[in-house]
Amino acid sequence: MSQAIRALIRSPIYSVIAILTLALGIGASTAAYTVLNGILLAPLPYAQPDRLVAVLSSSTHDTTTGLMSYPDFQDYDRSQDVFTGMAFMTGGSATLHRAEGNVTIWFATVTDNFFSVLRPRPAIGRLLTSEDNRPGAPPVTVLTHDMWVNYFAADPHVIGRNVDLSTGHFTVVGVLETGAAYPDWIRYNDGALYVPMNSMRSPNSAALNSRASHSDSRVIARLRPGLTQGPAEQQMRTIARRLAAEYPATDSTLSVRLNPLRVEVQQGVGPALTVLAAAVALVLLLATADVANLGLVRATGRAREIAVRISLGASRGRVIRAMLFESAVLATAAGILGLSLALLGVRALAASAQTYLPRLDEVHLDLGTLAVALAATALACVLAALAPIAVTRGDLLPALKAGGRGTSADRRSVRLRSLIVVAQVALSVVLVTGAGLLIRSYSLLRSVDPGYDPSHLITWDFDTPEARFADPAARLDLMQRIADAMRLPGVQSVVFANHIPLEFGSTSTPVGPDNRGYTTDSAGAIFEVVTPGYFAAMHIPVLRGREFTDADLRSTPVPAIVSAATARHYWPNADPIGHEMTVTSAVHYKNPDFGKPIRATVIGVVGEVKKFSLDEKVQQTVYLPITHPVPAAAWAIVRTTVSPKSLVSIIRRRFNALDPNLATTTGISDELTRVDGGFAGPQFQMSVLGLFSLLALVLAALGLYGVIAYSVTQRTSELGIRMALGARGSDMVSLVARSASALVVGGLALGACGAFVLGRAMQSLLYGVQSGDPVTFVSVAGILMVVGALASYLPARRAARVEPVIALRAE
Amino acid sequence: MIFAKKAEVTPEARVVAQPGETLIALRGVERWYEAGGSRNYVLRNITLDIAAGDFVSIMGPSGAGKSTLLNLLGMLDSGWSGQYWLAGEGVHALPHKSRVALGKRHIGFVFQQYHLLDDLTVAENLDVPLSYRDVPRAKRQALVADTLDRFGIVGKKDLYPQQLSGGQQQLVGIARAVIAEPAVILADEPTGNLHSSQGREIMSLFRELNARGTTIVQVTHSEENAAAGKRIVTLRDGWMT
Repeated sequence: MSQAIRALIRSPIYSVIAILTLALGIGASTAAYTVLNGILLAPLPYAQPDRLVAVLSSSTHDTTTGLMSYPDFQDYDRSQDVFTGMAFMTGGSATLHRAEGNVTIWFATVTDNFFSVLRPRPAIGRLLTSEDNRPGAPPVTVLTHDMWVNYFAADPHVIGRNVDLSTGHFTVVGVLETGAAYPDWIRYNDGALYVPMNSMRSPNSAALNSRASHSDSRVIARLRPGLTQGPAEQQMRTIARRLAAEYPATDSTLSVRLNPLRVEVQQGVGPALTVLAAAVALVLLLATADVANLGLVRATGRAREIAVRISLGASRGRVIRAMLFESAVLATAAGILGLSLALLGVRALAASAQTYLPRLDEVHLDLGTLAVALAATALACVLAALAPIAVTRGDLLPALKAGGRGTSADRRSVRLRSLIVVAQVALSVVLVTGAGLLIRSYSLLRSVDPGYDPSHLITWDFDTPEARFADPAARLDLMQRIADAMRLPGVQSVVFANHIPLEFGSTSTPVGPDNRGYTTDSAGAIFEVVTPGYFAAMHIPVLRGREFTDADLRSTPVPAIVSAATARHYWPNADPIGHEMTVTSAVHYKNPDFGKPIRATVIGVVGEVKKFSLDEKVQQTVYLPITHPVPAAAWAIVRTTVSPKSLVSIIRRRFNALDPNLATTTGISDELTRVDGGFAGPQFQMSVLGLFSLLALVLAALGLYGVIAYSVTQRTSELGIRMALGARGSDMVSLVARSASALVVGGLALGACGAFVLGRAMQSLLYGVQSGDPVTFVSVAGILMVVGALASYLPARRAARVEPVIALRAE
Repeated sequence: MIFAKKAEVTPEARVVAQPGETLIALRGVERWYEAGGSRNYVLRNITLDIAAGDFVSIMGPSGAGKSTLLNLLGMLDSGWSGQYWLAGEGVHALPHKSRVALGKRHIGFVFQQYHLLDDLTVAENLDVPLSYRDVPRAKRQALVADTLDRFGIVGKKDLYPQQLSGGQQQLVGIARAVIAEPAVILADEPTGNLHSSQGREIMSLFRELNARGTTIVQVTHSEENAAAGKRIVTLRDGWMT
């Protein structure tokens, strides 16, 4: 062992590079495995989590899935016998009154069996039971772990404390374990709480009791023992068909689908994490290949020493053992360093993906991860040891005679090393292409026109406190007061809407054009209410007719503006202006008129706007004046003529000064910052894969450099002969460059095939780019050629400076 | 016989000086290496004239500086002092690039270890010096074919060096040295790795090349080989004696 350490100390550059390379590979793989383990592999923190399913309403028109209305849930629950329990929850926000200042927090109202279906464990106290849901029961609440930590300072005596919400007073009876909060929107906030459905008058009660409302709800169920998902889904579909027949107006296009709860919790990040895992595996392979390559260089350099040792009586086994010892020392050092890097990597991943990856609070290095790191280390150790062993296979005599130069063992080693480099280049091509496809996809996505101009806008949402703003006129007055408060130099206009583009949370309405009644041939249109001047402020083009004026707020019939897609769909060959339509009042939050029909006359047609995300298909939209109804929660939109960032703080001060009970959940920010927040997912995927591909490029370049530099050393005498025969420096450079480009081209060809396969696997993550995108493939080839040129530059320069007389003497 | 047929060498040596005129002139040339703060001289005050068409054998014990002198003449070594004139041009006054170009124009090498390129066939080995002289491909092919024929090695053109005997390899080495029609051939122990009959064949070939006008400078230990030349230069401890 001491000999092995001494040998490594004698070659400090080799040792440091080998340890760093391996540590990077081990660190990256362990960090990624830790995240995967936390999100994909670790069981959900509920009893028998594999029996839990999410019940989703689905469309019979297409493959979209949606959320279930409460009346539908009740019918399904009554009719089914495949679950031991079905539970419903819906969300909302309320103002939490605190001495330190009011804040808006999220809460979930849940059916009495919610926790008995989900079966999480309380960290403190107890969970909600059916007793708590009984009429007249004292109002109680269960806090999420984050709520307990962030708003109650992790007080161990929190049980019995009072929670003063704008919707009522609640007594804390329990705190959930960390990571046990469900669903995702509860996890993403810094705290939320659960209340029994009957203990609070729901702000959405009208919407809750409407079969047409499919928003803000989650239905979970626990499969009966011995029953699998398939038969359960069959029964649910039978019930769906019955409901479709009974309630054709709302349910005729609906069916039902079951999703394992694990899949729902992972919410589509599975493919991204699988790509991450593949990327990391490739990087680990590259790192071990580099170390094997370095080992080969070192062993061929030591061929004479090894030959002398064997000729002096050392057994081959003893030599191999010595080399294995060296590799073990290297791998151990790299393992320790790699584990430290993994800890940093997990922290970095968690920090960069907080709003994107679920269950990050459950991610921590554990024994399983340590085992993976050790396995990776052992693999690297064996590979690094195998490489030098290949060199000692040859005859000893040539090595003794030639001092390790130009023997057949060397040629074998060069061939082996060249193959390794081709493989490394191929792996890099795969990774860089993956990153390239994501970058292309991201840039295409960012260049999509959202349909409005988000620059020079400041936006925020706000909720109106219950009692004082129950009257719609008071809410309208509040909007007017907000608008007045925002009259500042640099502010052009202030408008309001119940929904803002590129944000989830809007609702849809069925549409009945002219006198034809509601059509069932589409999923309906997004329903929005906006103030006069909204389209001008948002820079949404008015294509026909006009936009709303103040006079439209009270006029009858109700004026409506439709998007171009809506106009094309319902009046394909006619001018929609002047046509009548029936929609339902679809603002669900605190809207007693929810679901009631509204007759409206089309007065304008406007351009399409991306409602939820830039990669969505065109959504039909119907806009009504903000009086139909005046929303209790709305978005304020300020158009500025100066940089919006310069006005954010003053607008924030003025808004907060208006009413201490007003609260915003999103915070006041310039619109571009808010929109950027929606790109967390693609940015995370792109940056992780980009980082790994950069690492891969460096490792491949190191490998290529090693092989080319070594082959220049091996060919010194040949180069000398060529110089003696009249070769110029440029001839030498081109000779070396040819060798390098042969390896790069070989790797490119092999890697392109792998990259194509990876691209196919990544298709669901891509927008507007095909897996075989020629621009990406050609660019990657160019990048690899440049890296190859850089890696071979130094050896080529050395070749050009070979002194023939020295080179010939070397022979 | 080491050759398939007797090589017929044509008088194609480039005329850079008339027979008898000085082709190479060394004046006070010295070569040394720094070692431990002192100078170790390998060549001392060498003054030597070699006429066009001469056949000079450099002899002397090991370490006398024979190969160093030959490398110096062949522009393979640049760390020397004194004056060196080749075909009327002062090598000592030329920058490195011009020296290499001058050497490429006038000098061909024959090595003791043959130094054929292992991964190239016989024909490809012959092509190497021409490719470095920017000879057009068609002309190169013609020259290679002609040289293979002249040296009687057409049948070996697709073989690799390892498939040839030592004598055959050295024959290819000489063919490679003359293919670019140099005025001078510098040969470092050309028969050192050959048995005596092969050595005699090589010397015979050198005499024929010399008779056709090629100036030859060889380093040798062998009295018999030296006798093939027209005069002998002896070195001892770096000095000409």
